[in-house]
Amino acid sequence: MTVSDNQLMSRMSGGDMEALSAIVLRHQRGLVGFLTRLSGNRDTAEDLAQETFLRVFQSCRRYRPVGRFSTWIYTIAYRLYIDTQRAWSSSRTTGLYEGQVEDRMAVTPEAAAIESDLSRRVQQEIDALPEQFRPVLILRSQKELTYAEIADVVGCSEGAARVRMHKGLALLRRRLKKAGLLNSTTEE
Amino acid sequence: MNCNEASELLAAAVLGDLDRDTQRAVHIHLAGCDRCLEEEDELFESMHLLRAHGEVEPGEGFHHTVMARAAGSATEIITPMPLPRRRVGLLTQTLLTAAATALIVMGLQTALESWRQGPAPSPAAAAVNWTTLVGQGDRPASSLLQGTLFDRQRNIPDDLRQLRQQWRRGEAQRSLGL
Repeated sequence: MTVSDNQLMSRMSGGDMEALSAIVLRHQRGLVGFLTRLSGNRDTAEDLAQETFLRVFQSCRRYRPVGRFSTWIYTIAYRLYIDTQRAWSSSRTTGLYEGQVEDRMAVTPEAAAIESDLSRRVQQEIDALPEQFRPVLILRSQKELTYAEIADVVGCSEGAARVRMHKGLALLRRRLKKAGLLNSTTEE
Repeated sequence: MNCNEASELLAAAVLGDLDRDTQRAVHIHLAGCDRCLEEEDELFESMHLLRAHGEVEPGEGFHHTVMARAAGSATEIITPMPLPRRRVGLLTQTLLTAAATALIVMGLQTALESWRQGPAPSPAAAAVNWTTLVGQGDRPASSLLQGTLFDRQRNIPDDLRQLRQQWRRGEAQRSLGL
């Protein structure tokens, strides 16, 4: 029988490090994936994911299972990402958005070897979407969070999360089509 | 429903976010519009691409690093932290106040004690005491008087210094009949 996230959190608050280990193993791929899609940088994503797990560990005694655990952990991760973005933004005075996109698209040879070319190109198109759409698209399509849960994570209304999802998906389709990444445009 | 209206609703339709009637209206339009049908396919494919690249395997050592950092953080929690600066200040302040109070109390006690014992003996009275001691054959007192014991000027009481001067002038010996 699989132990639930909430049970693991309860064990963790009693000092059980194995519970933390299980939480990390269970969520590391999803979290690193979410943060990679969000930040466009694998190293940044891993740093933020590590920090997220540390926050989970440090707050395990205060954790109350009022919602889904995944909503809580993605909220922590998203807020850490936003803080990093703000710190990064305040350290620069010019060429903010353009520079950000260039940095996001920078792929190390190692990362390029690991990720497929298609994945990297899809990532580039996600990166180029306006900031407001990206977390909503990722959380809805990849993590299957409800709009209410997404609203909690990104700090907007449920209706706004829904509209952002619709507009974001329509925008992504146009970008993927333009980049020749959709079958209907590549197959002749 | 025309193409523009359908296009506005296609993303919501793909995500299943429309009510039943609107969804039906979109499907009726799609049945007769290849352009919008292709757009719907592209939206499905976009969602598929998004979903397909959802998980990323973290680098080797990720799990180990998280666990090591968490263990370090747990140690930090257990290790007693130094008191915040303000708390240290308050503690020091309290100790200093207690010490000052103790000193004041001790001073008051000493003053009260000396008041009970009456006024301090005058140099003359002290001289009598010293000379009496010497007269009674007290060797340490005699040595002190003659400057042969603890001959450190700054530790010598005023009355003894006066007696020494008298001794050197021979006045003390005469008064003692020595």
